[in-house]
Amino acid sequence: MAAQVAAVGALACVGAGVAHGEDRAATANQTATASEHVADLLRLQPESKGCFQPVTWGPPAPPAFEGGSVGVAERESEVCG
Amino acid sequence: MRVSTLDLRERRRSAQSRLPTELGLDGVELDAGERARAIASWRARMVSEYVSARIFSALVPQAMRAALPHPSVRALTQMATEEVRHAELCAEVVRGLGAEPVAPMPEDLAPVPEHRDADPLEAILRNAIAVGCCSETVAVALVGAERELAATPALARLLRSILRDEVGHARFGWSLLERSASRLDAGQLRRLSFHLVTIFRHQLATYAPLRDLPGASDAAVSVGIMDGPATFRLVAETLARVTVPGLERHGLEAGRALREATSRAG
Repeated sequence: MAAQVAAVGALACVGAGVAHGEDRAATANQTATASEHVADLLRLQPESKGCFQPVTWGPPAPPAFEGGSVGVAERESEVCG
Repeated sequence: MRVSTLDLRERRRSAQSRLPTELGLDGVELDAGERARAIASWRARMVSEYVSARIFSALVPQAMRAALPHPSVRALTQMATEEVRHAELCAEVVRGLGAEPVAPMPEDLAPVPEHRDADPLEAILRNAIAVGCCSETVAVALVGAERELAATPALARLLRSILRDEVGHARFGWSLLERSASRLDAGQLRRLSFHLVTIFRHQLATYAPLRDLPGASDAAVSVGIMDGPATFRLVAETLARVTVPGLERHGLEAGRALREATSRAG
């Protein structure tokens, strides 16, 4: 439990750090590193056990014309935990 | 996945007076895990609301191409603004839970389909049905239930404000269908019915992960944590009892489409 709380704090700090770094016009490499760090957090999602939000929902395209819609939906669903 | 950061720590001066200053969430008894889950959920929701603005913005040129009347175009631009405002409200809840409203935001957002294979009216109807008659109608049910269970009067007021907009977003889809249905020929109705299978599959795939989430205590639900199985049931019931009959009233084979989508989903 404590680890989860700590992870929440970590995410906030990293997120804030990323924003702060971008505000100060960090170099492209630094930004990439920071983004990768946030991506790692997203992938691990240690802070968000048991929550769900369809972060990038939207209307689907017909599969016959623009690719498989179910695949898109699955990719778009952000499942935390 | 490429990500950037959504940082809503800075409040707009003009918005400040309209935002709730005290949600009273620090008085809600949550264990550390629940509080962490609530914060994660509201951060994700903040991002979800924020990126939703792109959907309504993308519908504006589609509405113009379909020669929808000016009030419809104007409404779509307002809906995009409302989604950003919802994100700001979610940020207030994150603050109320004692955290910073900063969250990773995906950059590679799916484009809103233009449906160039269809005529302009049929094209925007595909999206309006998916967004208004399905996603936002489900959102009305979810936020409505959430408001009933809100931990504090201030949180209930905040949710009511979001709910009012979600109702408007849902009504956009339903009213466009209402106004257009009589102009649709048999071929358009058939193609729209066919597309409903894709829409329902998309909905089911989006919400299916809820089934695997744990339940939640009353206190947890009162601060916006979803009880996974209960929420999925509400989604399924809304689609089956509200969306399907509503679409069928306009000559679309929605029940058949939902059955097909369900069977394909396994």
